[in-house]
Amino acid sequence: MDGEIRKILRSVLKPGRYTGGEYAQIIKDKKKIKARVAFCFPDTYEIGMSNLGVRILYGTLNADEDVWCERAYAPWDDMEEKMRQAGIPLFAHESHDPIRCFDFVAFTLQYELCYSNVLNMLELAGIPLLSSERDDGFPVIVGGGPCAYNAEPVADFFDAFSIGEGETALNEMVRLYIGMKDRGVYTKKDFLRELAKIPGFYVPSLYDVGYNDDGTINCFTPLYDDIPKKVVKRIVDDMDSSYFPERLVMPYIETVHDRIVLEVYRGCIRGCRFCQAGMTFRPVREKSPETLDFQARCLYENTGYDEITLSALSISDYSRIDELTDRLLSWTNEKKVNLSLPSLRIDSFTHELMEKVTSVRTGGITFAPEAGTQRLRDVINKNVCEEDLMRACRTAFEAGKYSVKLYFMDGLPTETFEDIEGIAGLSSAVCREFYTLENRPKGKSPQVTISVSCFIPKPFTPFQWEAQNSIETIREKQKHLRESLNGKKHIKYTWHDADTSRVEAVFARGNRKLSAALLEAHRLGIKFDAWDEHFSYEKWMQAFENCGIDPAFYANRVYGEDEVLPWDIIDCGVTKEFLLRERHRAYNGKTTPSCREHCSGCGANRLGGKTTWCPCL
Amino acid sequence: MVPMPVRVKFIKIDELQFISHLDLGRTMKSVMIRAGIPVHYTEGFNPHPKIVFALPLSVGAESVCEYMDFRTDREMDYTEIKDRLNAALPPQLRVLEAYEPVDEVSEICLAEYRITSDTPADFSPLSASTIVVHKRTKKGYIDTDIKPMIKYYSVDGDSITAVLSASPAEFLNPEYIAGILSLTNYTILRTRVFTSRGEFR
Repeated sequence: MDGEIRKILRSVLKPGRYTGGEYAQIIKDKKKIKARVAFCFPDTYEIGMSNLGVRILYGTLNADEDVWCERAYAPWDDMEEKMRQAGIPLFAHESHDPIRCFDFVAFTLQYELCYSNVLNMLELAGIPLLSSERDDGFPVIVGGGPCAYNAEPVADFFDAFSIGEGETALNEMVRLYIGMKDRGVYTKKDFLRELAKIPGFYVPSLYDVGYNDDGTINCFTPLYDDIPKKVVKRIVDDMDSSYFPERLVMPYIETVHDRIVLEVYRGCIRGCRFCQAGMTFRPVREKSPETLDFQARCLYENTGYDEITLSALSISDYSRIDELTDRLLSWTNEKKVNLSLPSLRIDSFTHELMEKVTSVRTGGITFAPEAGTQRLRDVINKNVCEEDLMRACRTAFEAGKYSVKLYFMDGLPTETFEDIEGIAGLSSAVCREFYTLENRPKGKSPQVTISVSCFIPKPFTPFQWEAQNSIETIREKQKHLRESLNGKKHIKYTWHDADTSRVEAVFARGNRKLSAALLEAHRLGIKFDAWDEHFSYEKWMQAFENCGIDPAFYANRVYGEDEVLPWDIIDCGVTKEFLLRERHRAYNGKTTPSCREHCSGCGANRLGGKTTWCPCL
Repeated sequence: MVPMPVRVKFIKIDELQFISHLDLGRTMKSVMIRAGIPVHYTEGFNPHPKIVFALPLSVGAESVCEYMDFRTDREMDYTEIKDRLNAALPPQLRVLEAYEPVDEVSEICLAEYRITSDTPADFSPLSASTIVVHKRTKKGYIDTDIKPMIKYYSVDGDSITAVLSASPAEFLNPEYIAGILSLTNYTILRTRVFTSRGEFR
C-alpha cells in the first residue's frame, strides 16, 4: 500500500472503508491487461459493497482476461479532507492507483441524490466534470443503473449511459474500445459514435435537444443518420444461464447488506402505479429453484456468510416460492444459515411462511399498505384490502408478535385529508385487532410504527406526469396525520423529510438544463445528499436560483400528456400508451390485475427474453 | 467426541492493520465456513462459533504473532487446518501454524514490538527515570508512570524494539511509546508474545 495513503488512514474514521485487500478481490497483472475500469459507487463503501448489481458487473467485466475492473467509493468527508491536504487523488480500491489513469470510469446511479457525489468524485479524481472538456487522454465516463432511465440531468457529465441490464453490454463496450486501441484508431469521438450503435447505449452528446418557449422539450434529434432515434434497454434473456458471481468480495467492516443476496427473479407482476422498478425491470424473468439452490450453496461455500436473503421486488410472487424455500431449508437449518425474505406482500403472509423464515421468526413484521383508504389503494393499484392487512396482522400477533411496522406514502395523486385520516384509522384498527385475539402475546401491548414517505413522480410510471405536492401541502398533511393520531399511545409515527423528496423529484423528472444546477451545487460544496447531516435544502435552493432554474417546473408541475418527456429518448419496454392507459384507470379508480391473472399489454414482452408470464408475440 | 482444541498463529499485516478486533472476529467466522472447519458452536439460545483471540491488537499496528483459539467438532490434522485456513484467507492474514494449545491465554504478560519511524527519531525521552502519561485505565483516564511497564528496549537506527507489559492487569499500548517519542509517521509491528516462562505457545 502506498505510504501516503497509509499515513492518512491512521487518522480517519473507519479506515477499513478505504484499505481494500478483501478476500476475493480481483488483482491482475497490469502488464497483461488492455483496459482498466474503475467501477464507482457514488456513496460510502458500506452502501456500495451491498449492491448486487456492482457485484455482478465486477464479475462480468473481470471475466474478460484483457480487462481489470476495480472498485471505488465516495470517501467520507474526513477522508476527503485528508486526501485533498495530501494531494492524493481518488484511487481504486484494489491497486490504489488514481482512477484518472484508467480507461473507463463507470458510475452506478442508484438514486438521484447521489448526483452531487458523482461530481465530487470526478473532481477528487482530477477529471474534468464536463464531457466536452475531456479529451482523448481522459477515461471514458459511463453511467448506468436505475437513474440512467432518465439520465438527462447528468447528461453533460457523462460520455455514455448503459441502459437496462449491463451484464453483456458493458463487456461489448470495453471490447469495442480494446479493438480500436489495438488497431490504433481510437479517438473518443469515433469510439462514442460506434458505441451509440451498440444496442442499449445512449451517448447524449450525439443528440440535439430542442426546447419550446415554455421550457418543455420540443424534440430529440440524433446528429447522424446511423444513430438510433430511441435507445432500447438491454435485458438478460435467460436468468438461469446468465452470469452469476460465484465468489463475492468479502468486506471486513460491516456493510449495510452483509450477507448473500440471492436474486430470485427480475421484474414485477404487480404494476403499482407509483413504482419505477416495477415497470423498468419488466418483463418478469425467473430463475428456477434448481439454479437458485445451486447458486446459494455455491455462495455459502465461497463466502462463508451465514445469512441468505431472497431478493426480488415482491418475493412471494415467485411462482415456485414453496419449492424454493423447501429446497433451501433442507440444508440451511442444519448448517445454521439464516434465510430471510424481505418484501413480503400482505396478501401472501401466511402462518406457514412465517414458520419457515428466520427473519420473520426473529425480527419485526413490516407491511406496506401504501395508502390509508381502499379508494386510494385502488388508485395506486396496490391490490390489497383492509381485511388482508387484518388477517396478516392476526397471523403475526397469534404467533407471538406484538410489533408491526406499516409503510405509507403521502402526496399520492387524488389524495385528500380523508385518505390521510385513513392511515390513522387503519393503524388504530390494527391495534384493536390485537385486543380481540384471545391468544395474543400475554402481558404485551401492540406497537404499531407507521412510516410515511413522500410520493415522488418517477419516469416510466403511470404517475410520471403527476405533480408532487408542494412542501407546504406535504407538511400540512403530516401535521394532519399527527393530529389524527393524538392520544393513540400504541402508534408511533415517523415521516420522511419533504425537502429531500422535493430535490429528488426535481432530478427524477429533470432535463439537461439541470446540469448547470448540479455544477453550481458542486461549487457550493453540496455532496452526500442522501445523508441528513449533509443535506441542505437552502443550499440547493441557492444553487437553483443562481442558475435561474425553477425547481417547481420539474417537481410540482403536471406534465402534459402530449409533452415530449426528457426520457422519451429511452425505450424501457413498457410503452407510453400503456402508462397513459394506467394513468386514466387510476383516475377512474380502476385496478389492473397482475401479470399472473392476465396480460395488460404493457409492451415489455417486445424485448423478448425467457419470460414467466408474458404471452408470446 | 470431545471438541478438539486448536490454537492458530497468524499474521495481520499491510491493509489488515486497519481492521478492528471486532471486524476480525466477524471475518474469522466466515473464514471458518469457507475453510470447511467444523468449529464448535456455543450452546444456548443463539449458538455461534466460539473463537477467542489471545491479545487484541490496536488498529494501525501490524503483527506476525496473532493467536486465536477455537475447538473443532471432529478430530482434524493440524496441518490440514492450517492449509484449509490459508486457502480461505487473504495473504495479509496468513496462518503460520496450527497446534494444540500449551499455555493459557491468561498467562500472557509481555509483548514485543518493533516501532519504526519514517523520519530520524530521538529516543532519549525513554531513558528518563519516570515517564508519566495520561493513560486510559479501568478507572478512566489517569496520570500513570509507564516506565515500569517498559521492560526492555533497544534502538537500531530509527527503529526501536521494546518489550511491554501485556497482562490484563497491566497493559501498555505501543502507541504510547510513539507518543512519548513524538513520532508522526511510523509503523508498529508486534513480533513476539510471552508468558512468564517464555514465548507464548
